[in-house]
Amino acid sequence: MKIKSYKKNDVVVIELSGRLNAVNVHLLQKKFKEFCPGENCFVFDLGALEYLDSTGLGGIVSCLKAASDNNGDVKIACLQNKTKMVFEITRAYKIFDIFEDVDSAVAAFK
Amino acid sequence: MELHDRNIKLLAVDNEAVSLLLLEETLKDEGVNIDCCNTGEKAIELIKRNNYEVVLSAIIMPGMDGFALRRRIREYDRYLPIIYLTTIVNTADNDLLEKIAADKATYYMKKPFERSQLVKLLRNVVQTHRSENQTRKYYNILEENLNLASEVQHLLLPDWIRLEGDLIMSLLYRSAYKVSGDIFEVIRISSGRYFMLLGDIAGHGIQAALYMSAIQALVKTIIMTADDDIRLDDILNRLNGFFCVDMQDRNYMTCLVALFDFNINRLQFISAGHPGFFMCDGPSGKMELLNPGNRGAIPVGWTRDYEFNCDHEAVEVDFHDDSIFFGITDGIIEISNEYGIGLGTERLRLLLEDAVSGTLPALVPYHVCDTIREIGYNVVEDDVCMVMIKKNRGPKSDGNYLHLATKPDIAHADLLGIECERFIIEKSCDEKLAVKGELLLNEFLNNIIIHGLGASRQEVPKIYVYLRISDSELVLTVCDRGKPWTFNINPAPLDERIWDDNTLATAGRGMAIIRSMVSRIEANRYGDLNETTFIIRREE
Repeated sequence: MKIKSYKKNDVVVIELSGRLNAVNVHLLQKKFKEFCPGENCFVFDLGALEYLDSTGLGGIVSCLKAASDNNGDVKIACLQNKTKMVFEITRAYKIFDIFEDVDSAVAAFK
Repeated sequence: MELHDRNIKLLAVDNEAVSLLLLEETLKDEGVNIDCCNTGEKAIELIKRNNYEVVLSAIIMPGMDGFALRRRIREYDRYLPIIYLTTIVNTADNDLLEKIAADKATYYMKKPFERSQLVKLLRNVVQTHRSENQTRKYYNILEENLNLASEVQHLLLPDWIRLEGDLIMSLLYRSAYKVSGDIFEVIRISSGRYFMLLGDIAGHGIQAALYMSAIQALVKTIIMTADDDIRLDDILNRLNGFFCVDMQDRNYMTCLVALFDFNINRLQFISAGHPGFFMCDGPSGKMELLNPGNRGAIPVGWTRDYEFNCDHEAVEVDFHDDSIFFGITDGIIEISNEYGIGLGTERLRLLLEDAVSGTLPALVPYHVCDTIREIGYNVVEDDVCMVMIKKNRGPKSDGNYLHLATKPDIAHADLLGIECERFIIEKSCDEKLAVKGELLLNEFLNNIIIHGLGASRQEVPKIYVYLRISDSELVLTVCDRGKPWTFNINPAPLDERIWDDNTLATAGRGMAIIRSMVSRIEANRYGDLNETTFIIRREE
């Protein structure tokens, strides 16, 4: 799994690629902590994420909780077919705002 | 160590200061280092901090009496001798002697006593205590060494499940005395061809285990240095040389040596005084003990003049793609019931035949051993070893099934998930089913690896996965050697609140997801092996 990040209109965009699971979820948590508590608006761009399991999803959920506790939010963008199915199977789609692309997700913070 | 080599370290407990003074005076110049205290509570504190060899205590004391003190002492030290010094006499009402005798390391001396009587009792008690301590120490060292030997022995053996090219093999190996004299090895000679040795060194325990280790290494060396055209009789003659010449006729071994050729589906084997193979003929499901013509040889190591010879001793059998072979050491047929009746070959044949009809072949040895115990054959006096060998036709065959095995670590388990997804896509073109299969497998393997393996993780037994796909369902079976599972196996819809509950993050979320995807879960445990089967019904 690889993690990249950049800022767009005061929103931190975190790009994940590869597989997010119990093997590497700690890397996401470590990266996310670098932005806390200074930032509270995040978009997770999952366009290049091939797969994630419940531990990986749990990592994203813990980011959502941390952002919410800081009066912010985590929005999800660019879910691919397979990861979309994982969000559906695990009901995780119910707790995130999910967008087709990063721009829509960033715009939703306005 | 003799008693006079070092002073006795003693604690005296009595609420009467005079008694303690008298004791100190009495034991002066007797090689005793004495500490004194006047309550049970103080005694406990001192015992925790010091290495006393004996406690002299009054029985009647305010607060914690002598017997209550003993109960507290036993929480820390089961063996520390306690001598009660008391004026109480035994009566039917107080049961004094009975209370004292309830603890093997408690003694009693009635006041008043002669100085020499006390000194004699002290010396005897401490001498016994030191001697028993020494014995326990030796026993613990022996136990530790045996445990280490057992671990080393398991490292020499193949893992319990092995998938290699066109071979599937499973091994059940249980020692009667921590270490075993049973030997098993399978070595690939060339594409589709495997050499197998299954042996039983005469005797048990350390001696047999040492032979086992040597033979295991020797066989590997012989096969690795031989050319492709190895001959079973050559191998037996070399092993015979090891027993008769190198080891100077000190022991012998019964064994089966075999060559499996899955390219032409032919088995050649020689039994050297060892039970033959059981073979389940794939199509008919019939189980037979292979030994047409009653061929065979004498055990290896009986006599140095004997020449093993394939022409007279080898058995050759042609088999089907689905044929299953079982090899055993005689420990299993000698397992007996409470009436001393041994299991025997025929009863084992019937149990094997019954088991293969409804069990994954790799699990049959475990299933059968469990059944043997359930039907009352539970007196095991010899090492037990049973192996299953069959051809692995693999996912590229026309079969809609896949065998996988992984080391129990999360990174390897992730790769298994990927293989599982690819297989389902290839066989069904059903992307959603493939995601479900991959997710289920990953979630459950994580569960096993993080929560299930416990202490047995030291031995890193592999996890075996079997997938089968049909028009109506995906069946995924996971076999692990971890602790018994106690999870809820009933399917249940998933509630998104699982993501609110932080306690589920470390245990439970994965199983909740799994239960929402399946139509049925079946869980079996055979001895120390878990078999968990998940059935996902395919959507229209």
